[in-house]
Amino acid sequence: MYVILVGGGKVGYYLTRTLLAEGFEVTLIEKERAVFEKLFQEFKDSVVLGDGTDIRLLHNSGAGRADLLVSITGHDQDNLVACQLAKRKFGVGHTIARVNNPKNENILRRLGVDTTLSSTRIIFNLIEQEVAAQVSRLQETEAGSRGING
Amino acid sequence: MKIVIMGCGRVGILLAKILDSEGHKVAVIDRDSLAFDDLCEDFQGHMITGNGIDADVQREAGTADADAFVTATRDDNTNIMAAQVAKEIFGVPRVVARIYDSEREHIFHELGLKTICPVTVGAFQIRNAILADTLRRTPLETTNNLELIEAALPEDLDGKKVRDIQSPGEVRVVALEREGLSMIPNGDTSLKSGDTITIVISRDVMPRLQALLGIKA
Repeated sequence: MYVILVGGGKVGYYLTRTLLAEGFEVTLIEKERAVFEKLFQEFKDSVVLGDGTDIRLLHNSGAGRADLLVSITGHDQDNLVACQLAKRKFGVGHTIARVNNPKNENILRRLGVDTTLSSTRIIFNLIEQEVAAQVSRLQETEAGSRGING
Repeated sequence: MKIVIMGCGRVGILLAKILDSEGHKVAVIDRDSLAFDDLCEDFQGHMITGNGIDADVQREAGTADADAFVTATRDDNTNIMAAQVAKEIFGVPRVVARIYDSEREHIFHELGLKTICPVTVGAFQIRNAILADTLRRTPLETTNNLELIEAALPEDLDGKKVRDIQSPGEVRVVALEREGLSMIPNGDTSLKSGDTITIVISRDVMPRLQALLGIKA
């Protein structure tokens, strides 16, 4: 299974490390030279310097035979374009985009990204669950105390 | 028309001024409110500060009932995403995205976006300015690899038929000008030295046409 990752920030770094350890074939694309050089020390030929939305770079990275492209940069527009190029130009089977602005989740899906992931949304959902749990605990306590007094 | 322009650089500002002075209802979006300083004081339109890829910002600019949406920021991917939001989410009938990278422009053009690549347009215009005495090349805006060529017919092709210089699917003579008269030729039309011919050509066979017309680099 061949996976292309776009964006070598923290998520990209740990994802590359995990996937390589699991035996996946991985290419990580990173735009910033300084970041790339650090990544290169650890990942060697599995990391490429360049713009993951550049057609030639994607081509040279073997996008044509990739099973999966995951775009995890801090810019939703770059993640969208990387996924669209992967899917429509190179026929990559599945694309995953990190969504920084949770409002863009639906938009990216409507524009053809297969899977979107918003850490803001996930944490917000957990907070909502926590709030709901606290409210129900509070209601139970209130009901309980009414029961005692009444 | 109601037109939203995203990105107030030189092109965005000039476009806004032109359309505003023509009486169109214009809204401009830029992340930096200082960008609006270059709009003249008599600008009638709306100015919205914000990130134009954000659907809420687009909505605030009136994109939902706009007739046209233009993206002209300096970032290609921002332009591509904002254009698609305007087109697919808000259903704006005319959306134009400026894309500097010509390869990226080709692909998003193929995918149905109306795109303009100022790099390609500018390069061909400059080429024609310095080489106009050989032939003029103009990329056909609605295609990826077709060009319109205008050239003077060389002497050694005098008397040839139009079909002799055509080739199916690659080269077609679409117009001919002789002594001030224009015509649409067919395969049987005879050519004369000095005719100005207009040809639609696939870019890949350009070297062959140059050789045929006797144009040396």
